[in-house]
Amino acid sequence: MKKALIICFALMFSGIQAFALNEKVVVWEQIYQQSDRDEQRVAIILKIMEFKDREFAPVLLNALTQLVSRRVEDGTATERYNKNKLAMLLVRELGNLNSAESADLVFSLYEEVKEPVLKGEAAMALGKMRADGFAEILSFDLSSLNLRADPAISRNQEILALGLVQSLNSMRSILGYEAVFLASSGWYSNISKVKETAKAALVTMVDDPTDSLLKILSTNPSMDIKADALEASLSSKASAERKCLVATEALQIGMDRATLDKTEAAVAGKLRINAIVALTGLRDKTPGNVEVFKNIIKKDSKNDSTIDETLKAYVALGVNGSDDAAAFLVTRLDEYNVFEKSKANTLRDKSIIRQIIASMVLSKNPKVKNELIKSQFVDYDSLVIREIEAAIKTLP
Amino acid sequence: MRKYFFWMCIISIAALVLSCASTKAQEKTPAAAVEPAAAVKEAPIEAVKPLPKIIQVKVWKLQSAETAFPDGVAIGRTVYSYDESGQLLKEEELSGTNVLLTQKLYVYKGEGTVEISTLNGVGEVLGKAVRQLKGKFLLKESLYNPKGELQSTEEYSWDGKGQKTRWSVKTSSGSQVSSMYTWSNGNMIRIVVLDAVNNTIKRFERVFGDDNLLAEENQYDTAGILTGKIVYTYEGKYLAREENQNPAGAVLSALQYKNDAEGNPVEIKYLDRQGHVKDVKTQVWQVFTYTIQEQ
Repeated sequence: MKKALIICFALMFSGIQAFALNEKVVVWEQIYQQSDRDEQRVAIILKIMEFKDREFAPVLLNALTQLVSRRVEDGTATERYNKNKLAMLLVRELGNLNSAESADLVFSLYEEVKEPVLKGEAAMALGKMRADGFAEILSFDLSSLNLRADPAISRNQEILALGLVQSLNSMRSILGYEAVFLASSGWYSNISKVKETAKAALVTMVDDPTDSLLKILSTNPSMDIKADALEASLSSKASAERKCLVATEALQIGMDRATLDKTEAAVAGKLRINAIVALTGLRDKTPGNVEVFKNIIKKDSKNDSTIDETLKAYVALGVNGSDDAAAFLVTRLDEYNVFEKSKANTLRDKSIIRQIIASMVLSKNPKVKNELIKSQFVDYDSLVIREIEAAIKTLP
Repeated sequence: MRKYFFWMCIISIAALVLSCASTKAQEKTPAAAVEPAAAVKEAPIEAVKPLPKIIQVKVWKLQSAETAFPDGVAIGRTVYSYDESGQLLKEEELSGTNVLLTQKLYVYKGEGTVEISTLNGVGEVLGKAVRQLKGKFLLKESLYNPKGELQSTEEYSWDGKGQKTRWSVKTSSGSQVSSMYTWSNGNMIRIVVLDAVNNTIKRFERVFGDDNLLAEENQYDTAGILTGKIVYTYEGKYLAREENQNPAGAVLSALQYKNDAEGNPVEIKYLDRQGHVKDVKTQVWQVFTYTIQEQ
């Protein structure tokens, strides 16, 4: 019933538009209407497509309406093949001509057909028409495809997924973002171009994907996906403040993930490091993050596996520059000063000390100055002393 | 003279092939469809043979055309490839995310015959066309299915002044539609579209301004009632705007052109009836320079 209504509406619309047409449209419309075989119709549509002329849209819509009413997937194999080819060309050109009036009919075709190339083409055409009223349904379909490959029809799934990704990208609807994001790291083969296309789409399809990414971070169980979510946020056009929200969430998740599995622990560690680097790069000054950085430093295992993370946490504290961050830097330098008096600091500790000094400079917080002045008189080697002296000069 | 004729043919074929792949704007600028080679003129016959003269002719051809939404998201792109002499070899249609959708391959068979194959993104042949030209004039174009079976034929007639006088399209099953053209002072002033038994289907009356540029194209139905019109506006001699109007003069849609210094449209905005930009086409042009030595 719904389809019948759509067809009636499409017929009405193509009738209404029958004015202000140019000669070519009049001639080829007549020829198309008089053609009696789908093979002939395909040849005529290929000719019409050469003109790239928007005035043909009502003619194409009318042609598609007639074709849909004959049911594209009914008939002998040859009939189906020709109808399918004709439908594909009609749908593509209606998309190319940005014929929003055709969207309902194209969507009904999308729902009706099973053949993946035509279905994908219909999805793509809806994208080119910016028919974002269908974004939620297309997004749901892409999410279903993302879940798992069915080995018997995986190639078909990939063809449709590619069409859906392109469609949702063109629509620029936030409703499609999560599905496209998951497609970018999905099961699809490289040859299908689904992942590559989805990755490229993530950068342009919405300006601020923060809400979608926060949802992915909190609900998706995969640490790899969470890492990808952070990366997607950083390469998006969202503001630094919004990106900080994602990085903070990723850092917290990385901290909370307690696991005995070494591989998973390594992935969680990588997520934390990436989040810290992101926050540093974004010049994050959120007071609440200081506690997380402090916890990372407190968890330092005094070996090579954690030195990178620890040093980066000190950098982040310096950039943060809050009074809390400054107080923590002061406390830590004071502790190392005490150890140095008994020559208990290792080479590893020395690298941390130098980072603390550098972070104090970064903080620009006057509350660290007294500790630096005190540290000048500790028996550090000349390199560290020079750095302390230089640091004192930079602080107010 | 032979050499001159040879070059004239080459330029003419290239210009005709381009005019088929080019924009509506160009096609609708009355002089543009048939005149790119008109800059090359016969030397007058004189009693004393003049010294050989070198003439350089520039022909601009589309290199790419990208359509995008007003916010910059690409809808699709067409890329044209030529050989060194400027003959169109390939036309690729890509999606907004650079996935190949279709391609047209042009093969020049000699004696004015051009074969054009249309393939889908995975290389399957969708159809073929064969164009037959004589000099710069397209005489016939036949469309075939992938099996090589004729589907339709277009035929063109030209008068001694190089003006198109008739165009007919006939399908293999016998249907036919044709157009008859009337000219006045070098301007095509009337188009009458006829069915197989010569009944008028549509009539177009074309109005030219004092500057000889097409100003309006009015469309009439079988009863002679005005059903719509296209109004053209120019900046200098170049087309700047094209409005589709209903008989009452209300704008249904419009195309707005931005041209480069050579008059090639480099940006075409499509506006809906409310005047909102629906999409923007950006065109890049490539110049081919032909050096002709008059004998």
